[in-house]
Amino acid sequence: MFSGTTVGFSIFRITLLIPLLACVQLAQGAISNPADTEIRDLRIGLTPGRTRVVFDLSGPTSYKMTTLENPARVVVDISASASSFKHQDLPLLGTPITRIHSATQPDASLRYLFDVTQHTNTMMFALKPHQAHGHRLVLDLYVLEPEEHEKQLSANSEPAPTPVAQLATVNAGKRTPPDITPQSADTIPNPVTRGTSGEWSGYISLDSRLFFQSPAFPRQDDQNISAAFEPEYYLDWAKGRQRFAFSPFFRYDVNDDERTHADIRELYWRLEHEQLVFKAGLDVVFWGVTESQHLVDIINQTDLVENIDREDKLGQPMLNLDYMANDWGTWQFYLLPYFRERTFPGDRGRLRTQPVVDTNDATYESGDEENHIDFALRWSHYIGDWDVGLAHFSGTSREPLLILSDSGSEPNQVPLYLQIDQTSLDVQATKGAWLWKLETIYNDNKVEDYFASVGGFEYTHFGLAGTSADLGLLLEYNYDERDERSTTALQNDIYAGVRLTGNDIAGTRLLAGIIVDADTQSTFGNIEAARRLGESWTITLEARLFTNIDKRDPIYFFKEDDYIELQLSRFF
Amino acid sequence: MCRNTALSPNSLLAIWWAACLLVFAGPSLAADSDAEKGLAIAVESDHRDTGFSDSTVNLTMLLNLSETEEISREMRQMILEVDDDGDKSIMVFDRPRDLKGTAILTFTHKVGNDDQWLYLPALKRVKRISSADKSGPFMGSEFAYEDLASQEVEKYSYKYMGDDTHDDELCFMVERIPVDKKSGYTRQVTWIDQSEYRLRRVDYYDRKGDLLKTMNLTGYQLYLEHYWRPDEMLMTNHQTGKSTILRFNNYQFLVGLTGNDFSRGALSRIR
Repeated sequence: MFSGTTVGFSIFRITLLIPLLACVQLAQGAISNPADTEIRDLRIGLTPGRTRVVFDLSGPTSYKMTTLENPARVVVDISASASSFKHQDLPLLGTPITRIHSATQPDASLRYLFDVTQHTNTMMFALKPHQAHGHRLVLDLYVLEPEEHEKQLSANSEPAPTPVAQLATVNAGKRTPPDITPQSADTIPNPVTRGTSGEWSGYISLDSRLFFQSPAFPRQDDQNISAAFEPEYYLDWAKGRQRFAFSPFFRYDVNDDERTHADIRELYWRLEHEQLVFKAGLDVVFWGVTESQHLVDIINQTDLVENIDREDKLGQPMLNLDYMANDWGTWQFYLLPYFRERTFPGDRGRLRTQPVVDTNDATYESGDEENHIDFALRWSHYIGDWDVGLAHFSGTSREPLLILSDSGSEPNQVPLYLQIDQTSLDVQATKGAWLWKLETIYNDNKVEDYFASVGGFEYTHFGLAGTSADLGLLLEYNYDERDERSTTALQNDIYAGVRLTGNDIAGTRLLAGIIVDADTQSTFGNIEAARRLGESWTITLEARLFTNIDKRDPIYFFKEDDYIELQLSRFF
Repeated sequence: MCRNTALSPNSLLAIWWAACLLVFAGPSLAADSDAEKGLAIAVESDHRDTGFSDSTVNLTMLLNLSETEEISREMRQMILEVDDDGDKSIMVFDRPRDLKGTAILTFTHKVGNDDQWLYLPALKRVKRISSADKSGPFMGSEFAYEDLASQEVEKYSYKYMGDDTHDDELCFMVERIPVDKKSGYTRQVTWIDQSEYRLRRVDYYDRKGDLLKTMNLTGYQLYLEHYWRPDEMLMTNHQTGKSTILRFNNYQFLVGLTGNDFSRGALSRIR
């Protein structure tokens, strides 16, 4: 009910703005030399339901009015010179205005910023000389809900100075309240426009992997070298409210032709308008809270050839609309018109299945195949220590079933992508040094509906043994109702990990953990460590160890693929 | 609430008088007025900084590795003033480049833990993080997170210690003790100039009570003819001999930021 009311306000405000824009045009056309115009006085008049602010001018001029929300403000720019009146002396009691700021702009125009209570609508117009009155600009503020207005007014009215404040004022000698005439103020920009808009940045990396055991399958090698390049470019305009972004990705792998690949991680146009954000193009979206797997994260396909940790994602084509309902959370709607197939290693690559997955021959439940249009809706919010996300996805499963096929010259596996309806919940409670996390999904499909969940905690001990380093302890339990028929290895598995953060100049960090299958005691060990070398280089060490892997485990094929990887990256 | 207790109005009155006697008795009288004056100075200093509505600034941090070697970090900060609570802020990292786009959103609260989210651009992940860590170093510098946090009046208790001259300016010396038990400091001694109530110097005392660091704030400039901001903050660690310089430039006020610019969604859209 309440969110509906908020939507109503916004629409009303937009419709009000349309005739106003025409007003601005007219006014701007009418002036010859606004620089000569002076604001002689500022008056405030009060009638029931309406507060009228009148700028008395020495001549005609142009103006512009903009409203901002949260906190509610009215911004008025007038092409006129400063005047000597003191606007802080104006009686604001009984008006929706709580404070007035003013500032001289770089172009010598004047900006007035009115802090107002939430429930006002605004209207501005120019008046020509009439009888005793000269040129005037009139700003009308309409109070919409008198009860609500009363309540906010009493909360916002200037509190009487406390005795201690008076004591300090005495000590300070004479002190006048703010008389603001700033030297410069920008035209309502979004400061995110600074940063690297219009520049290329990114990284190039050289990765070498050394495998501990001889390969399990012919044609595989016991070491590997590859290089990756991910430049990124974005351009912001319209005061940062619009953006174009482009991030291609390239990898060259000396052994595996399937791992040598390119992708477009980002290629989109985005428009922000007050509480709405619209985006069209390719992008990567992350949902979730846990560390051992990202169960609820579903928008993007996994770029599996990159890393078995499934954290690398392919750019997903989308139309996306976000609505930020402030106190009522954020709503995100996605329309996904094209499906991206998962990447799989080729027969010369390590960490692959046997037989290999033939990605040229993917099959789909839907007759539309990769052109099936998927939908997703997510609501997320935070209340105090709690962050909550609820989502629903309807469309092609990102996780394929692998079907054995003997049709070709050699046996292989073919991915089958089902149609699914997946509802998910993710929750994090942040209680001091403890982060409590839960992700849970229900997946409805033609083969086997299932429920899966991951939950646990991350506890951080700050200032380890008197040093500046922090030690984090992680424990998570992974469950999948399908048990042995599960497509992931995490069906009844415990994850325990340690995170070390150096808080030093080099940004040293280490994450080490093990995942143990509670049924089979199959154990997967994982170490990731990184630090910066000078200003622009980082060195990353990664080790993955498979111990005691049971035949029934989906990672059984990797049991001879223990490796250590050293990655050197140059950022620009 | 008192109506439900067994105490009669008379006995309550008696307790009140007893309490008053305890509070005002003997030497504590002078201590109280020092505390009151210390608080009053802090309140006035805060009061003079109220009403800037929002601001943005570029930061450069210089970490002195040795006398010849220096490392720099670049960041941007946006701040939104919030009525009746602490400020909202976003800090975005520009350099080093491997951290580019990493951003921290903080909702400071006058009382209790702040709310904090971290944006990791490589994973496009917004992560709620613990704000319990106050004493840890910021980016390997001599500044702790709590030194850079929004300095709300309610976060300390105060004691006026006398007047002193600092950099040829007559200053109030005010001791402040962090309310939060997780602070890395037992106390701080501040120098606040008497002409404009600007913070000029802070001495930080560690958990053992020893002098740990000194921060000097210099190059104050007046913005909007009302708000004073330093150009530079120099933090010197007396125990290690290391120091960090934090430079502020391109201050902008009244840029028209709103709560929408300080949401988890906005955090993920920043670059």
